[in-house]
Amino acid sequence: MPTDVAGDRYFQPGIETMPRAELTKLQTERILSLVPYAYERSAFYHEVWDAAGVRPADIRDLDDFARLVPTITRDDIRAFRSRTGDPYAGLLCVDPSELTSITSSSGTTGEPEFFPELWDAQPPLPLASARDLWELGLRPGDRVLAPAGSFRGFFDSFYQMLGLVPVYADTWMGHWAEVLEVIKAYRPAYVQLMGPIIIELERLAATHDLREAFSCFKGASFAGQPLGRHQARMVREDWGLELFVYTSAGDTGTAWECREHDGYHLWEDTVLAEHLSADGNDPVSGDEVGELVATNLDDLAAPLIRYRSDDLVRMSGDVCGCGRTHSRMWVAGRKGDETVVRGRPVLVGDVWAAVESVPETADGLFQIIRPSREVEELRVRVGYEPSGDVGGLAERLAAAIGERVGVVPVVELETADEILARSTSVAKFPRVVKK
Amino acid sequence: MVAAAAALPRAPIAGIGRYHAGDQIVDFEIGWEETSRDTVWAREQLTRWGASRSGYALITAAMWQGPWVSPVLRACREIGITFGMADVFGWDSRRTATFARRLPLSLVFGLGRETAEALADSGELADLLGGVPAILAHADARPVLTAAGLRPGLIALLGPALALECPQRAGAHVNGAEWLVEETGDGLLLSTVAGRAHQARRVPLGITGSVVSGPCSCGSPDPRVRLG
Repeated sequence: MPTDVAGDRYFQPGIETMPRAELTKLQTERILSLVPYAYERSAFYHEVWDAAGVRPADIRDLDDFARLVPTITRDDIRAFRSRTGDPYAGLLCVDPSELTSITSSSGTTGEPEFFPELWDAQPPLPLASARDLWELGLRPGDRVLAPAGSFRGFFDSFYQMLGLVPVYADTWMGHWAEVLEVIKAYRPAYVQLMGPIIIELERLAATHDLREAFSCFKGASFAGQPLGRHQARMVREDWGLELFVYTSAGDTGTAWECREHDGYHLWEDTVLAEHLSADGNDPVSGDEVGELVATNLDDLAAPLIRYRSDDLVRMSGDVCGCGRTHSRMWVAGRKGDETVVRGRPVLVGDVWAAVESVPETADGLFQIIRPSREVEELRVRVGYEPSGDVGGLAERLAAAIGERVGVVPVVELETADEILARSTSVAKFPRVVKK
Repeated sequence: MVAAAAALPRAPIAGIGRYHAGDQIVDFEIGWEETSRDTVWAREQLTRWGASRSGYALITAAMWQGPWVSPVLRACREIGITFGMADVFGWDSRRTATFARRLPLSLVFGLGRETAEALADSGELADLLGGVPAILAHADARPVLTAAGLRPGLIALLGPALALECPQRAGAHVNGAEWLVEETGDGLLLSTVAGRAHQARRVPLGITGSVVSGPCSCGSPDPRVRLG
């Protein structure tokens, strides 16, 4: 439980600083309980594990688990649902009538996937971030701005549980002139930001003192996409706002930066995080890029077990400067986002760096357009601010990208507003699109 | 984590909302006791629409609508109906479509214009929602929904008050124990009649409509508001 509100850094110190051996023991207990639970209740796991010749009794420790239990992918889940018509794709381990709620994935790569939830006091996704918001500095009595989106659930009761006061302002893009007035009136301590909102704020900076506006904030979270260098510098240095970036923990929850800002903490009492080669099942060393393969340790409704997240990460189990013992990861990209142009791999991050290097497109608003992963031509749609002279912009962008990735692209320019209108989620701006 | 949070002091108020009163924006504090009462009232309304433990509800709402929608979500939890969530933006209509396609929804709450138009544009609106027995929609979505042959009940945000039609669809009920809505030639006025953190006194809502005071055939004694 949270200890000294005035000075203590940890929300649950016993868990957050748990020695590695104890964490492993806890994970082992949970895995040994989870495996027979899922096998007996989930049609999907029963089928997949039967096909692999695995029985729960074969799993006696984490080594057995990693060696014998097959990994699964989102495509496997979609295929099961498509074949059986089961809306839960065979993952459900409880009777549907027992479910409290159903949220869903952002759906940037296809139809949203369901996350069936079973809970009493608070929904699992926001609840899992209690330690992270405590680390950010939020304390009872603080006011927080309500996030814009609701598809992962309403967060207000969670804030209330922490003693916080939600301020229900419309924080979706297009409303931030009004939000700045709300900030002035109520001096909130926290808000969740997204890339398009930062772009709107950048425009408002011409007429508003954002450093003064954000001086009441203990921090802001940022998610949905990697944070470009230009935006990060502007928010942190020009506006004086400490950003806490978070990302998905392989669809089992979220992983947040702490105040050290050195990687995303995976709460390993809730997730077993494996770090495997992207094209196989071999573990890779922490400083190599591998795929995050995640197992829910606290989800009795529809646990993901050895789920290949597509997230390419580096990972470390070293104790963080904050004193927490749970592993951290650093995201390198998405496995599915690599585009192969005439046999040459092109990574989103490399295109991003090139787009950011051109002053008129420093916000890094772009999309790679590809009908399939392997293409003959690299097409990049780039958003720019229409004010000022943009003569020769497409040519300069093509040159910058070509120099960076080794393939000169076809550049399609749109205004920032036009490209932002292509958003398909409050959580993510899609970087790779089919059209 | 819930146990850890239980040791924390509760905030003095449940939240701060904002409503439009004509061309004015009014901020209002939300107290804990009225949150409980609003939940009880929302539960009564949802029950009239047949919400039960055995069904599925889809709630489509924006977080800023929390002062009005959170009591509905709490009511869903109390009823035991499994609820899904979708955003209100047109581009998120595919989430509403996914829920409607995969689950036998018994209630859709909160449909707005953007979602309704996007589903209508896709040609799926009637197919997806035609079998849903209870649809509660905002006024701006109703023309699109009715054109598709659907019969939504009305949701109206009357300043800080929530108004909901019952299945009789004869005006949106307002909790008469909490609010007084008056009809004037210049539009509707709203006052609080219960002890709430925010007290309103004949606030012009900038909404035209009429107030029906007689009992509804659904059995509710609450007054009803008809917009327009």
